[in-house]
Amino acid sequence: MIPLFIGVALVTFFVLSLVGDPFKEMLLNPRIKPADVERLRHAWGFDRPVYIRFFKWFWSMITGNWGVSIFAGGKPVTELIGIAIKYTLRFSIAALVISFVIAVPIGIYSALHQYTFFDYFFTFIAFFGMSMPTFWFGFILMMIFGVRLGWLPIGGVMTPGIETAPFLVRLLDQAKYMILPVIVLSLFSMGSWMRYARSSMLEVIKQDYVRTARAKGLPERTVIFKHALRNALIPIVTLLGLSLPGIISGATITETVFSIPGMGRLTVQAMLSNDYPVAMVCLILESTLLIIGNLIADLLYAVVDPRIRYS
Amino acid sequence: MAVEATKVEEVLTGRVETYWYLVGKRLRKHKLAMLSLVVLILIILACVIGPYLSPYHVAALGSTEEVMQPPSLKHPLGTDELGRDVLTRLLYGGRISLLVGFSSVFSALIIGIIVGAYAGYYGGILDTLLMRFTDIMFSIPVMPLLIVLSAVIPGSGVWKIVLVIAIFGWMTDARIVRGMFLSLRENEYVEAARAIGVSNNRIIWRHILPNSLAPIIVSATLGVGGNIIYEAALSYLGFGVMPPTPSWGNMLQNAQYAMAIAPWLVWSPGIAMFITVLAFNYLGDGLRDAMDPRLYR
Amino acid sequence: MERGEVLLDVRDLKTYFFTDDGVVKAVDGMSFTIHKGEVLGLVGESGCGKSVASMSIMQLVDVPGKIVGGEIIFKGEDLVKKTPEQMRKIRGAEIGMIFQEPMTSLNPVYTVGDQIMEAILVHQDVSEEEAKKKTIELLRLVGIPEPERRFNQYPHELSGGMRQRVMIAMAMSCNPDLLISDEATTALDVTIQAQILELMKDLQRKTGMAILFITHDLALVAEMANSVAVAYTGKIVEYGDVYSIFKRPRHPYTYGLLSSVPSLKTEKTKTPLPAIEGMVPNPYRMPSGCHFNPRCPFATERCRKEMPELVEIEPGHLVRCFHPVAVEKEANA
Repeated sequence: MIPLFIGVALVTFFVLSLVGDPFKEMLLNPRIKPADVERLRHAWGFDRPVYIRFFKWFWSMITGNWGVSIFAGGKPVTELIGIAIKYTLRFSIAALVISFVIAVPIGIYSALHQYTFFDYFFTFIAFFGMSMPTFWFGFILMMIFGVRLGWLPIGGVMTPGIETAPFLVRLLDQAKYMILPVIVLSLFSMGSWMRYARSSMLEVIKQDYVRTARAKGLPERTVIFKHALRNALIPIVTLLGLSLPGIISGATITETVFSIPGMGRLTVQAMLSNDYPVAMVCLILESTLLIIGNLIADLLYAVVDPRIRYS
Repeated sequence: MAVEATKVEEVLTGRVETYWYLVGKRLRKHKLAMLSLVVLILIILACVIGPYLSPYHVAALGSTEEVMQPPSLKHPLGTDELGRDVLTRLLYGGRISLLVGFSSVFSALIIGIIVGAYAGYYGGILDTLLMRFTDIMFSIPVMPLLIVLSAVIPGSGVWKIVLVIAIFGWMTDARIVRGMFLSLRENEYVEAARAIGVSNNRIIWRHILPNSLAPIIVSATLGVGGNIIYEAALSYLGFGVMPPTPSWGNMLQNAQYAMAIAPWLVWSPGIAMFITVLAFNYLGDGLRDAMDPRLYR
Repeated sequence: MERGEVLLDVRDLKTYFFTDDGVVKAVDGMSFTIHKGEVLGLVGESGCGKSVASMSIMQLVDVPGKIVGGEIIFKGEDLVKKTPEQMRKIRGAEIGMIFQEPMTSLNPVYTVGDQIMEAILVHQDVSEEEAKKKTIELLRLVGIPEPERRFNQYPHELSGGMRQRVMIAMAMSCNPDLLISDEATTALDVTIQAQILELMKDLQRKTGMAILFITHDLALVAEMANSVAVAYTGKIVEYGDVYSIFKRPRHPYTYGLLSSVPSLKTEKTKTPLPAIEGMVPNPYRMPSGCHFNPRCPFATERCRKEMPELVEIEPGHLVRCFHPVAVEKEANA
């Protein structure tokens, strides 16, 4: 795992450095003296080769100093990320929970009633969700509900000036802002959870042990809910583990469309300006989640499937 | 439970039917998949031939009165902010989007197959190395790096996008192929081939690979749809295909700002993309059902 | 031989499968009887309908299959006419069933003990403790050592033979009158197979239950069965007690099956092992007349036009053939 980390850090740092000198743009500004730019460059170590910069950065990361942002007025990276993560987590977790809770039961019901209208209808809904370009859909929703109908706000996270209002009012206000982005965010995952649940369940009800359960004279409800469902949920639950990393990174486009100051936007901005302290932490965070997500998926697998526990 | 339908088919030993013939037969029964296939063929034809048939050139700027016109007989889908005919641009853009979709999938497949085949066939250290590499690529967050790479690599051509998407898309295929190879290489015909002296390479490419095509085909079909959206997302953020070359993605990007006054500019590329991707998804799903020996009516 | 009263009377059972490619008449007019305490061997090649018949008895035939005709009289009542709820009470309690694949027939996420106990709890009004005691007793009865420990184990921790024993314990948990064994030993090693068969015989002696023993292996039939029914393409072509069938097979198919079993004698005479020519016909394209005629060395014009009926050629011995074989076979089982 550690080598994986280092490998990922190396690759990302290297790719990031390809963006080049973050201070290049400044040179174009006639009011900034080249000597000052040189000083900045030196202060941030950009006059040294890439690998030296990497080691210096790596060392400071390990020793707990996560640095400050080059461009956001020297704000510590942790503070910037702290704010952005708050928003991203809010939306992503809401979307994950909603899509899981709605889609999985529908998928399972579809499997049990294969080839019925219900099945075809929800298969279409699932494909709809998976084929729809999210930014376009978000856009359309914004236009319909935000502009035309004026029911919901078209971007941002809260009404300006509401910070002083009582807690409940603020809560409701923020909820209003969450509706559209969460719908857009959950669209794709709802579709794919529905399909996963459906195919997993379909596969399970064809198994021999389901036949055995029926042959024992168990009521159909027990056969489905005790014997079939438990097995069908195994791959689904492990998928849940694997969708953890998506919580941070999955919302980039949606955040852009709805102007949400979250991790996605922060990461992209930082990367494009080679604000490497911020960018690297964002990217490492994401990679960590990916690796942890995999681990959790494996662990969950062992928990729900007794066959894995002993090997 | 039931006597599996497979037992019924076991008894159907009539004539010799090749695997692909059976797949085709089963696919034909899947009406939605067939419909999607037809739709896709129509779309592809329209995009390839359409621009030639159109009276407008794709980059022809219109006069000032012709700017931002709603759909009419003269311009069935209206005109955009530079007076260009939207329908023509849509078809031309379709060419680009489809091209990107197909070639990125194809390139990702090539890389993925090579990595997966050699890892799965040889096993051992090669396998470990290749899989570690795959894992690293998997752990790198895609979206941000996609953006960076497309910003950093010089040139604005379509091929840059194809390359960038392919670089991040081969891993799933590699895993699939590796899995297939791990199980297929245990088959007796592989041993037999080795025993008569067939070279390893030949075994991989002539013998095992054709048998692992099924999941690859499904993944590829679904992948085209996914990559079309990827391209659109990139273009939307400003890193994909650059104007004036139209692609469904950058047409959407341009249209954002004019949404209130020219909604047709937003609807056409979006709907075109949606239908195309939907068709790929249905087709891929139908292919998956047709190729899976266990799941069918 | 003294036979007890009739337990199961299958009369002219017809189970058809309505597929997109046509209708498959998996069971096309099968009739046989099982008496109390008797073992009936149902023999035939793959695709002859024997499994479908057993599923039909349990009313577990699923789409696109359907029982379209006949009666299944069990303890005096027609199972075909039962409601799903009534049938559910019978399954597992009065009729038990074991299947071919012990590796996949048990649910991998529940313990072995749990799965046996649930059968008991569903059909009998006992407390959980009693069910647990009974389960451990059953595990001991089917020859599983250390039953208390095994109770808490998962199926993947047991070998194939042990899993099949668990299946038997499960099927017997409510003291059924009839046990249906559908190729239960086919997937096991020969030595384990022998053990399981011993176990089944033993249990049958102890409890007096009847067994419907389905298999394609004639040697097993000779060892286990009291009566034999030979099935071909959905119909019974020969039926009688095991001794008559093996000594005096009347149907050309049965005769062919028995001849193709190698024995010590064949080796001595150095004659090639006779095999029945041809293959089981495609169910969508059944031959006209007697279904066996393309492969039958004695077929005549009549055989190609008419389907023979089951006829009692000797007391207790029925044959479906216009030209039954009339040769004595040396008992070689």
